[in-house]
Amino acid sequence: MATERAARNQRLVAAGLLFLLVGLALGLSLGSVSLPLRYVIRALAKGPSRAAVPSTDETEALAGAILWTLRFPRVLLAFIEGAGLAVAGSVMQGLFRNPMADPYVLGVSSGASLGAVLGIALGLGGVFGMWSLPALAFAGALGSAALVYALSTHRKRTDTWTLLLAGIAVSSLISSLIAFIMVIARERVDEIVFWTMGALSRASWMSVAASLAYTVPGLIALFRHARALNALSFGEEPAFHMGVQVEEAKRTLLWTSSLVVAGGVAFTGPIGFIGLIVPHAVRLVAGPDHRWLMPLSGLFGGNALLFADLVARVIAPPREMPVGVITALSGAPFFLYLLAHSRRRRE
Amino acid sequence: MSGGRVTVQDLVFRRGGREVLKGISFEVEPGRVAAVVGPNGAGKSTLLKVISGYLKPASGSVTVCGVDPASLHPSERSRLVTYSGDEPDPAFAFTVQETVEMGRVAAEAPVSRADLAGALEEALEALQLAGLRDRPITSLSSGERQRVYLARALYQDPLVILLDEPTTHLDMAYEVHVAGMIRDLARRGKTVLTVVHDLNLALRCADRLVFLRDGRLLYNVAPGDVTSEIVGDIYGVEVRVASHPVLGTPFVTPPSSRKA
Repeated sequence: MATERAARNQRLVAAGLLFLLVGLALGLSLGSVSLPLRYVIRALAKGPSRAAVPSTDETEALAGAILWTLRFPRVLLAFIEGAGLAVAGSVMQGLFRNPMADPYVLGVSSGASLGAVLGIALGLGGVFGMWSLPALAFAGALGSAALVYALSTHRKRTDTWTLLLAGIAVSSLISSLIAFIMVIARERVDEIVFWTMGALSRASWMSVAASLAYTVPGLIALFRHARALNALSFGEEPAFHMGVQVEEAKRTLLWTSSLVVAGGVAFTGPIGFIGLIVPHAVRLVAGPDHRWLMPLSGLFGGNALLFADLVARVIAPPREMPVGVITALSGAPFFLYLLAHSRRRRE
Repeated sequence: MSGGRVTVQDLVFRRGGREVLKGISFEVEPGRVAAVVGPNGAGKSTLLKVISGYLKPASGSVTVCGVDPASLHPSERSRLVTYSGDEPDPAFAFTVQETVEMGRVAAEAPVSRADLAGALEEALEALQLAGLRDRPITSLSSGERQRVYLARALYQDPLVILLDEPTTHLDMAYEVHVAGMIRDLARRGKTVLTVVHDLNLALRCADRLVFLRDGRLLYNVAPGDVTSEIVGDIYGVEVRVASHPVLGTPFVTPPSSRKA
C-alpha cells in the first residue's frame, strides 16, 4: 500500500507536470490576440531582448513583445500564486484539523484589501500603483495576521480555536472599514471593486520576481515541516507526545504560509477557492500525508490558477474577467460537490 | 535495555485556581508497572500528563531517568517518555501503518531502515494490527483506533510509557491481550505507568498500585497488600478481596447491591 500510494502519487506528479506544460502553452498563445504556437516557441527561443526586435515578420515581432512583457510574467505569476495559495491551504487545513480551512484564516485577504483600498482612496492607484499598492496590501495582510495572532497567543501558546474566531472577527471588522472607505471615496469605487475581485492583469516581471523571492523560501520552509504537520493533524497534544516542537512548528507554519499568501495577494488582490479546494481534492486522491500533499497541492494549485486565468482571458472577449470571479464561479460548485461527496462517503 | 526510573516529589498542579494534585510523591523502579487507580476526578490523568512534561506543575518535581522531561528538547523527550490516551477523532484518513509510523516522527533516524521496519512490524503485531495496516483510521471503530494509538506508542519506543486507560474501548479478549502486552513491556525493561479503572486488571498486571483520591496519594502498595479497607477508603464502597481462582492473584469482587 505504501509503495502503491507512492507509485500513484508519482503518476499524479507526472500528470500535474503535463497539465502545466499544456497550461503554459495555452496561456502563452491564447488571449485577446491569439498567437500561433510556433511564434511562441520561436519567441521563447530568441529570448526577451531579441524577440521584440522588428524582423521581416511584423506579427512575429509583436508576438515577441506581447509574450515577453505581458503573457510570460502573467502565466508565471498565476502558477506561483496558485501554488502558494494551495500549499498554504493544505497547511491551514492540517493545522486546524479541518478540510474546510483556507489560507485566509488569519485575515490575510481582508488585510491586503484594506491596504490596497486605502492606497486607491488616497489616489496612489495610478502611476505609483505599481509599487505602492502591493506594498500597502502586503503591509495590510501582515498587519491583520499579526493582530489575529497576537489576539490568540497567551504566554507563548497559540490557541487554534481562538485563532479561527479572531480571524473571523478581524476580517469582518476590516470588511466594514473597507465599506466605510468605499462610501467616502465614491469616485474610486470601480477601481476598488476591481482590485478586491482579484486579477492577474497587473502581472509584470517585477511582481514575478518579488513573489518568487518569498514564495520559494516560504515553500521550502513549509515542506520541511511536513512530518510535523502530519503529527499535528492528530491534535496538538498527541503531537507533543510524539516529540514534535508544537509551538515552534505552529508559529513557523502559520507565519510562513501567511507570508506566502500575502506576497501573492499583494499583487493580484484576493483570489478565492484555490487554497480551499485544491488541497481538499488532492487529499482525496493522494491521501493526507503532507510530504505528498503539500507539493502536489502546489503543482495542482498553480495549474488551477493558470487555467482559471486562461478562462478569464477568453470567456468574454474583448473584455477580461477578473480571475477571482472565475475561481469563485467554478470553485464554489466544486466545493459543494466535494461536501456532498464526503457526506455520502461517511454515510 | 535499561528502563527509566520515575520519581515524583511533592507534586502540586493547579488548574483554574483549583489544586488538582496536592503534593504527590512516589517512585517507580525501572522495568516495573505501576497502576494509578482511584475514583473519577482524582487527578490520575493529570498526574500522567505532568509526568509526560505536557502539563507544568505549580511546584514539586518530576524526573524520568534523573531529568525533568519538560526541560528536554521534544525529540529527546520523545525517546524517554510518551503518553498514550484518548485522542480527538482523526481529521484525515491516514492509514493504520502511517499512523503507527508517526511514533518516530521526531526521531532523527538513529537506527537503520531494516531495524525500523522490524520495529514497525513488531508494534503492529503486538496489537494484532497487521491485517488492518492499510485501512484508513477514520474507518476504524474506537477500539481498533485505541490499539493503533497504543501501537504508535510502542513504535516510539521510549523508556517510560504512560498509558491512560488503555483498555476503555477494548473488548474482553483485547483487554487481556493488552494486560499481557504491559507485562511484556516490563519484561523488556520498560517502565509503565497506567491509569486503569478495572481494579482486577490493575491487580493482574501491575507491580504497584498507586491509589489517588481527590488529588492525594493515599496508598502505594503491592497487589498482594490491597485490602478491602483500602478499596473501601478510596471508592467509598464495600468490596471483598479474594484470591483469583485460577491466577492466584488478589481479586476484588464488586459490592453487592443487597447488603447482608
